[in-house]
Amino acid sequence: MTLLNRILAEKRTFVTVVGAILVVDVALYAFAIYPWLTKVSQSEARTATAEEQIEQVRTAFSEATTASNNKLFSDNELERFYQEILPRDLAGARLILSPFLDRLAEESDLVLERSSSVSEKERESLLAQLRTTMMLAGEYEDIRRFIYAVETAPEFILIEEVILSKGDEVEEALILTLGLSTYYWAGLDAES
Amino acid sequence: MLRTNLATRPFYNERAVYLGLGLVAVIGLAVLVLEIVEITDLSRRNTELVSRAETAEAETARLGAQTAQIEQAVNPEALEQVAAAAREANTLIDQRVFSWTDFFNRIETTLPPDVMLTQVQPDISPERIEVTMGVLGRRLDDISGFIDKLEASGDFAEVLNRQAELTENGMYRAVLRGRYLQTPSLGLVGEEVESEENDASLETDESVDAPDEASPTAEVAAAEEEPR
Repeated sequence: MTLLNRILAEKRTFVTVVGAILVVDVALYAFAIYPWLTKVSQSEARTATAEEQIEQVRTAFSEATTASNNKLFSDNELERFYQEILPRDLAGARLILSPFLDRLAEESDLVLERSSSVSEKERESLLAQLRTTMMLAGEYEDIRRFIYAVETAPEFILIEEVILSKGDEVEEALILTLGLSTYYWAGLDAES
Repeated sequence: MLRTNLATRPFYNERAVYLGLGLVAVIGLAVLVLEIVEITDLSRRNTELVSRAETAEAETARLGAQTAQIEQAVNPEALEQVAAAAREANTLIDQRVFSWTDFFNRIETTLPPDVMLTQVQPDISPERIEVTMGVLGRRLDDISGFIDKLEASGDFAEVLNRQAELTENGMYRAVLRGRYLQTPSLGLVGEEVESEENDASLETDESVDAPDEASPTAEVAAAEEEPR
């Protein structure tokens, strides 16, 4: 019997206890720690994927919300523009161009020689245009005064073209041919 | 001297054996404790991770549903319509802001005595203002001098005499076109609202320009430059 066998035989109880402790250690690692490590690793992967997905969804949600808010804001601003700044309809636009500009010309000492109007609407546009061409006679300073008055009027009038020529009858008089426009809401389906 | 041990059960150092076994037992117990701590820690960590994942998944599902709902309400076609309407409105506002009074004031300071302005037509876009001017001059040199003065004033650039002809009165009629450098109060609307669109979400390359109060700003712009 070797010395080792003798020790094992003589200290059997103690050796058995120590051996049992070591076996429990190994078993615990094999049947508890290792499966938990695998499970935690899987959970980490699942969490990472979920958090990546939530970031993507948050970005998409933020973009969608921004687009929605922008649209809402633009809709409101457009509505205000159509309702408060532009004339409401053809009648309103007509009132701006005809009595208003006629009176303004008179106040500026200009003589309205001729005017013509036409209403147009582009197919894709929500707005219709009422275009007027006015032929006015008067002195240069009065013409400048009239243009200034049109520009500073609260009514939405666009001066699109200015043509100046000398009148035949009075040497000082100039003829101003003015292309003016205003717009009103007509909707997509309205016909010009 | 005898060196051979004749005993049938020779003595060995029992204390050393006990010490060795005891040391192994202590190490084994320590490992056992560590393993129990590790198991507890892993269990807690796993619970935490699962909880985080479940929260994130629930939030993803909730936000995904909300996003889909919003995208359904604000489709790219509707966005494009609003963008087109806003562009149109802003173009009109830009035209309204063009100050004819300011323009004439500038022209008057550069117009030579022998040249007369007969026609003005601005072409206003968000990027630039092009002005087409019809002029009458006694000589072509006068008209060229007018072009030089316009550019030297810094108010105009790239002015070109596109067409010139002799009239029956012996005057030269010319059509000039150039870039007018009035700083247009573009976006008097104040701000541009950007929205984006792509096939999956709501991105668009178009910028939705929201109109703002047009007339008041236009009034101010014009009022600042009264006719001289």
